[in-house]
Amino acid sequence: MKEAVKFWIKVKILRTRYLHRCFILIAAITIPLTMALIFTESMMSGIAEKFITVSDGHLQVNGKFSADDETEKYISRTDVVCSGPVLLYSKSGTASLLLKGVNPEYFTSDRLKHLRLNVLDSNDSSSELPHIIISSVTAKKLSLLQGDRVALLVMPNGTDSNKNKTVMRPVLCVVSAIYSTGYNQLDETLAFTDFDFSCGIFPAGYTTEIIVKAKYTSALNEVRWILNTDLPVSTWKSKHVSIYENFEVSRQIILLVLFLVIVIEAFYCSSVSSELVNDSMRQISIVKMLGLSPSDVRLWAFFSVETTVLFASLSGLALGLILSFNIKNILNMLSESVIETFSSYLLDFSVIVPYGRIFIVMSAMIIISSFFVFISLRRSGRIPILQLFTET
Amino acid sequence: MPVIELCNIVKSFQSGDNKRNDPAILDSVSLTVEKGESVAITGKSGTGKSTLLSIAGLLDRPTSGKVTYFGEDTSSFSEKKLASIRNIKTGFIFQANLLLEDFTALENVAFPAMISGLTANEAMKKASELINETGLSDRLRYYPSKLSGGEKQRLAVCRALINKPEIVFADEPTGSLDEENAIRVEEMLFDMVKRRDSTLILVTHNVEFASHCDKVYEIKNHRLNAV
Ligand SMILES: Nc1ncnc2c1ncn2[C@@H]1O[C@H](COP(=O)(O)OP(=O)(O)O)[C@@H](O)[C@H]1O
Ligand SMILES: [Mg+2]
Repeated sequence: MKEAVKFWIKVKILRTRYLHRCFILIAAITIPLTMALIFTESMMSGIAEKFITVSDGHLQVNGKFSADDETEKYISRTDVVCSGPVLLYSKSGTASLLLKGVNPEYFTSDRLKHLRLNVLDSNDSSSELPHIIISSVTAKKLSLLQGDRVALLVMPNGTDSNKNKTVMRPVLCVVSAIYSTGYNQLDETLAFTDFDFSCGIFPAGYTTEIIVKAKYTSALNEVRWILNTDLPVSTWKSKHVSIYENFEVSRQIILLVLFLVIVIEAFYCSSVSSELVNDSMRQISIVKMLGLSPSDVRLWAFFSVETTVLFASLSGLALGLILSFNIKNILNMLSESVIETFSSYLLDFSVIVPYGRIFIVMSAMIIISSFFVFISLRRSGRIPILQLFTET
Repeated sequence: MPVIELCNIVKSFQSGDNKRNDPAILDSVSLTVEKGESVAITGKSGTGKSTLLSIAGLLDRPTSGKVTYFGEDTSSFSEKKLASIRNIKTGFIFQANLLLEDFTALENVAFPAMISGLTANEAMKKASELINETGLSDRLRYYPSKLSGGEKQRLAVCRALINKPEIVFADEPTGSLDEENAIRVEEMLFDMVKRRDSTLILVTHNVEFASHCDKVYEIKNHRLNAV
């Protein structure tokens, strides 16, 4: 590109009002666009992480399983748990839950962080009653506080009940702690208890939760085969199909919306470039008289608009990223000051930037707008010099 | 070898949607201009002086006839070649002030030099030296809207001459100026053209200015006659 064309582009971008407007508008569109991508991705992976960490693990072996040397290198942690469905009764209500019996080692610092629990005071043996840990959601529903007693009823398992018609006697338990992951759909349905106690009430409820090492989390199906066990193995995704599918649908809807926004933006860019050419007819005649060729003029018009679009997108992207990385602070501020209900919402996810998807969306934006701008600029090179003579 | 040779130029414009050409504005016009010569073209308003200049300056093509630059027939020149000729070989000055409004005085003058391949800095340096010759050095950073008609026209002369063109075309460059400014611009134009040994083709009403040229022609009844 000729020095003169570059210079003219620079002058046009720096000194033309509606190109500034175009810059601001596109940057303003790109900010929420970037944030929407980051926010949905972070939320989803935050929710998935909660389920994996405190509810299911990446893989679930239906029974007791221990890793051998071969599989050890793929696995970060295995926990044998014993769980089954229960009903909790209190004066103010009932709650149907999955009660999961775990050993004290289950509560690693990572899990405690997700459950927002401090160290469990398990030596609180003032009561001989079995301990259970319920969520703040359940506690609220049943009006329970830490240390309160609650009746627990084991739900009959369909196959068992036909054979031995055991009378279901409520067991009295004590609420030893109240957790909160921040994700209500999870909290509503999960409670913890001691492993030994749950073994007694769910003799067939053994599951091994496997947390896979970080670098293998994207290859769960492969790891599942490497486990080499006769027991049935399921993955987190297959266990929570509906949640996983919701994620995928949300992702696609977001992408669709973004593409619609991009198409509208491209139309806007093409109208800006028409405006640019209409507005610059005289200038174009003059620079042609000074020796720029029609192709130089087309280059100028195209890059005046596209450079603006590119810089605007990059600025919007940068601002969107900055805002996203501070989104927790912003949300926390909102939840404290304005919106009470926010606080029960998932707040402690870590920001995940889907660079690949952002790159695709940005490229689409540049390519589609280039196309529209290119179409609307074809005539710019044909503006004649001759009209200069007719001016007086 | 002549710098420009016009040979039997006929020019007529198509009017409206009627495909037939109207009667010719220029009929069988021939003109030869040698290097370093200055030529004045005079004539009444509407006789086709600007039309002739635009054909000689390769901004428009004749209906028939041949325009030769340095012995080369220009009818087959591509758009790219024409652009390069406009940039390096020729310079134009019009009656209407045709500075770029987004550019400062300095940038306006420097622009043709940038087109010719100089960097922005080199071009600006060259332009400011040229503008200094005209006594407008305190106006370098001004935008055209803040300049007087005379100042703008002096800058237009600088712009036309920055690439040392072989031929300078001027179409009533002082037509819209008061007498004092007109004389100033005219003197400056003649002086700069002479010092660069360029050829000047000047369209003017002003008999006084025309008389400063080596040759004077008049367009009358669609033909060009020596005066
Ligand atoms: N593009 C054009 N289309 C039709 N007629 C034109 C065009 N340009 C000039 N003319 C006509 O040609 C004649 C000569 O115009 P012009 O060369 O501008 O005269 P001058 O410069 O001597 O005043 C005028 O009658 C004008 O109307
Ligand atoms: Mg005229």
